[in-house]
Amino acid sequence: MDPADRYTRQALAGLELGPGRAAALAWAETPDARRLRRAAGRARQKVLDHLGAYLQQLEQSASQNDVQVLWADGAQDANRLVVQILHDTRSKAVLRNHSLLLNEIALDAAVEHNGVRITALHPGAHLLQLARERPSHPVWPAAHMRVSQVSRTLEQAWHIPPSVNPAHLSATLRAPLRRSLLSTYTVILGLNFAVAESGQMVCLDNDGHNPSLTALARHLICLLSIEQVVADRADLGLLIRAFALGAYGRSMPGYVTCIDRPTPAGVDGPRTVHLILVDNGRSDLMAAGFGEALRCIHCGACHNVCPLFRQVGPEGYAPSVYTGPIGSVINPLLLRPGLGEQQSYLSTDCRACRPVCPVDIDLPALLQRLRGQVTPRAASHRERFVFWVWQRLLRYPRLFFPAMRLAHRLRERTPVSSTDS
Amino acid sequence: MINLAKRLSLPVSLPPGQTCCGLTALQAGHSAAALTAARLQLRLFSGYDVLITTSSACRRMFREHLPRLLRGQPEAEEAARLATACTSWAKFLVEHAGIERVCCRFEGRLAYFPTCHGDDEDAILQLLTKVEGAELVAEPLRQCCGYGNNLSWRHPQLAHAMTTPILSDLRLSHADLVVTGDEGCCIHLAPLLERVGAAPIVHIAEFLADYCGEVNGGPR
Ligand code: SF4
Repeated sequence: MDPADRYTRQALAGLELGPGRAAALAWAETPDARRLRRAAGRARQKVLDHLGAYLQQLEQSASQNDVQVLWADGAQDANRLVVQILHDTRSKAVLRNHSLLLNEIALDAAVEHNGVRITALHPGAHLLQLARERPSHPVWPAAHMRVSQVSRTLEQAWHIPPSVNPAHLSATLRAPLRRSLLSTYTVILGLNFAVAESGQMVCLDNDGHNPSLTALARHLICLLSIEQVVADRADLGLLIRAFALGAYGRSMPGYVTCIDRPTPAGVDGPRTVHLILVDNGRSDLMAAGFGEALRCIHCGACHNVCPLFRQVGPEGYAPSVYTGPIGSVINPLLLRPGLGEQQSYLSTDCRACRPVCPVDIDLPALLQRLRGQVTPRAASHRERFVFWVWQRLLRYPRLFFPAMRLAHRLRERTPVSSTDS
Repeated sequence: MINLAKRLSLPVSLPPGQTCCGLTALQAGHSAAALTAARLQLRLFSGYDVLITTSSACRRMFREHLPRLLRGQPEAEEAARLATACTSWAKFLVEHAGIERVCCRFEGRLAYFPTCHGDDEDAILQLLTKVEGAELVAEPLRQCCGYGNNLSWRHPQLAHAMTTPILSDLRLSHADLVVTGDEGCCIHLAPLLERVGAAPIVHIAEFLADYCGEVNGGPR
């Protein structure tokens, strides 16, 4: 596999200096950081261990709040449900937030296919809509783009003169978003969490696009991937804190948006609220014994510190929208069989991701276990042969070392791309 | 390493028949092959009280993976024993043998390259700070060199790209010599450092042996 182009690599390397460093400092200043991580991990694992029961409880409490709860097995089912609601509410344009779940099920394409215009209110996510690219990072979806690429994207989409001024580009990008916010009444939200006990639905962000969306929405369609249900409000508080530490290096995110029920006429807020619970392969992933990976709250902390992710770039994880170390674990299990398997090898076992995960996922161990399952069915004949020989030679140092040297020599001869240094 | 051990009159020996700890196969998902290697290791090292490896990744194999792989098997007990017996050369010198400093002389700037699995960083730094004439480069870049998990073999371009920030950091540090605690990093970085005209990289054991004059402290 080739590394991403050097602009992408430079842009992604900035993640470590920015949010990566901020998170490291914040964790260092957090008393009981270890205990917090463990507790957050337990709060997630508890739900995963009894997922069915918690989801039922969520359905009940949400229904009591007059939220209409729907279930979707796969991406297509979820999209079909959304399109149906858009049809029923006669929506011709919708706004959405930034959420990997919405990217995962390719909601934009499905909605547009039915003649409805869909705009992401998050500037980064909107930029990706214009560039027709996949997100590279769960929190900063356009983290891989540099100023020049932003400028080029806007130039091509809107025929505006190029600029190297980030403030100017940002203002240009936001202006039409503000206008559409005032004229669009249907909103689709990918949720961070939903609370089983109270039916509250929660979005977290640092730029305020979620509260803007919910304040002005008439019809609200919320999507939750099933594993992101949270037991109660105490756990919610804990996980919001864990997320903020991992994502932003702060003890609270800039905005916590909580919706629990439709608002009555005369009060600002949504008249109808739908909650769609999306499985899309999660149950299978759990059945395969990798449930620990679903603790993930998509904070991006492991992306920020992964030295390989920043070389691979988002394309290395295609066609999935989940990138970085967590992507390497879940993509082989979530994608169609055989599609993402090679991603489990995108690791040097350097363990940089191990201490940073706010929900205490042992990513290196999961990856290693996964490779143990992938290799027997997916290894090339060449690789099988190499390890067959390797195993035979183990008893014969006189042959083993010359053979290893030869293999090393052969590898040295592989051409290395000259895009570096 | 063996030479230095002899000068320190430490009873170190190199059991013949050694090849590979099996980590490389384990990481690649070839569990059966890894198990074969693991069993061979147990037999080779069964008579020794302390096991010293020059690679921190191999150490993780002995300390963590071996006991897990062999759990419930007849060799489990021996694996558990080896896990605690396994240490690094620097750590062994400082902690077990009570060597406060190996009297080394090196005129110039030394850079320490931290390894991903390094559990002996304190020991290495303790030995390096006491090297006479040397100035230790502060705050080295902490990043994986890209060698591990067979990446340098499976995706050489990616492994090569990963070294870019390390090479420029080491070059900018104006080090005359880079010292590290893992063979793997040496194998991976040495030719690349040479290509960009930066300082050569050596293993701490090699450094101590090459620049050693006399030894302070001694076997307790
Ligand atoms: S695996 Fe952990 S660190 Fe990575 S995105 Fe998920 S929660 Fe964050």
